[in-house]
Amino acid sequence: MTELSIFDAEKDIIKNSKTIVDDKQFNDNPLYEDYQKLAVHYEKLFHQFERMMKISDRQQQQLLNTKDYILNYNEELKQLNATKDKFFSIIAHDLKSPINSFLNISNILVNHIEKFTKAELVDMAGDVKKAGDNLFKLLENLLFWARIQMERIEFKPEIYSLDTIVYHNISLLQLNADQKGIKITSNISEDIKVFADPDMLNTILRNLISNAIKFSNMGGAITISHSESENYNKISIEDNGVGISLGDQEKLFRIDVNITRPGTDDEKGTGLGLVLCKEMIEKHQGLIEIDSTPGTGTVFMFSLMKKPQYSR
Amino acid sequence: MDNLYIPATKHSPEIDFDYQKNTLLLSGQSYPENTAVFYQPIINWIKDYIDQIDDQETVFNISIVYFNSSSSKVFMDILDLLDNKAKEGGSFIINWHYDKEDEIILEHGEEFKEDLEHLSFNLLVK
Repeated sequence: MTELSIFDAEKDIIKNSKTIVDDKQFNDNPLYEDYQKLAVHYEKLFHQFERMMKISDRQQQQLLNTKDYILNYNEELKQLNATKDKFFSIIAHDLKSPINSFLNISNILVNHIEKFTKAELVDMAGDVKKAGDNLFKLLENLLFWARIQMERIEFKPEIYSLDTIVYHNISLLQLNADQKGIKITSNISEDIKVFADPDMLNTILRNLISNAIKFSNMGGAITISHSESENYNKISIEDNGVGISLGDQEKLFRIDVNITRPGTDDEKGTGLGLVLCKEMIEKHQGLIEIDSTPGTGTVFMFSLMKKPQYSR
Repeated sequence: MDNLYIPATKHSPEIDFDYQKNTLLLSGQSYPENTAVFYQPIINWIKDYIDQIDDQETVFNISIVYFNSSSSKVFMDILDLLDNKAKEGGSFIINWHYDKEDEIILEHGEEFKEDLEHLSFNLLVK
């Protein structure tokens, strides 16, 4: 079988013309010489044309690839630009106000320090420290988030005990919980292992547990539990605090909306914590979900893939 | 005869033909507004050149990154001219230069090489 070609008609013409040129009976024909020239030139032209088509097809394909590449790149740039805009808007709104209160208190102290009693000064120093702590927390989250955006944070999952990392984070936040008389219980058994990036899982747990403390009433209870499916480990943090309205639930994980509200003891938030959590959970191919009823409490559940498939 | 030098533009390649050194260079991009007008003096120069050379070896360096279809027709015609001269006894070395990353240009070079029988055609990494 001959090779399939878009040039079958041209190849037939060349074959026939060769038969005619080679046939001695046409040699004396007055048109023979012109015909022969035509045939030779036609064949040459045909070969050039065939090769030019290949070159041209290849170049068009290359241009298409380049076009796709540029379109993708453009899309990526748009997203990066949106991220940058959000970053600056967070800096503009959320960094400005704590710095402002910081400056206000220091101004009062500088100009009127002699007018205050020692007890008042201790109070104000406490406020300055709170503002400073909060500012630092916001900066930390902001920078961490910026580094994730820039892909500077390497995703390094390891297998380790969930129980250990949960207790570590509870102990870090125990003081805050004690101040509000909140009891934190973990139902996670010692033999549960997770495959996760320890830095990220620490940040996720710290954010979710401190949120639960923030929005729990005095004497509340927080429960941390684990369940699993074939491919996922699921961890939930449940509180019996003030809960979140449906409308606000939708906005929790969005950087462009960036809501924050004070806790039950007027604790300030950064509005970035859950956004960060979501990004880090997605690095683990997992999901974060919320189930909350205002006045009853909130459950945050997140999943971590047991063996993440690397997408990048 | 005179040497031929045409500086590169955005749409046309640099041409540097030296009849005393027997070196020809075509380098850059080739999608001139009117391909025939751009290449007419170049083809004429080559015709004059092959008429006056004897058995000197001519080296033709081609380093092209992008060219349009009519340019490829002209390249084939030029290479055919040289191939025909080589058949009668001229000696030509064609060096087709391509970037290591640019397989497409390498494959184009293989296409140009295909119908040539009498000159040596080298595909060289830049």
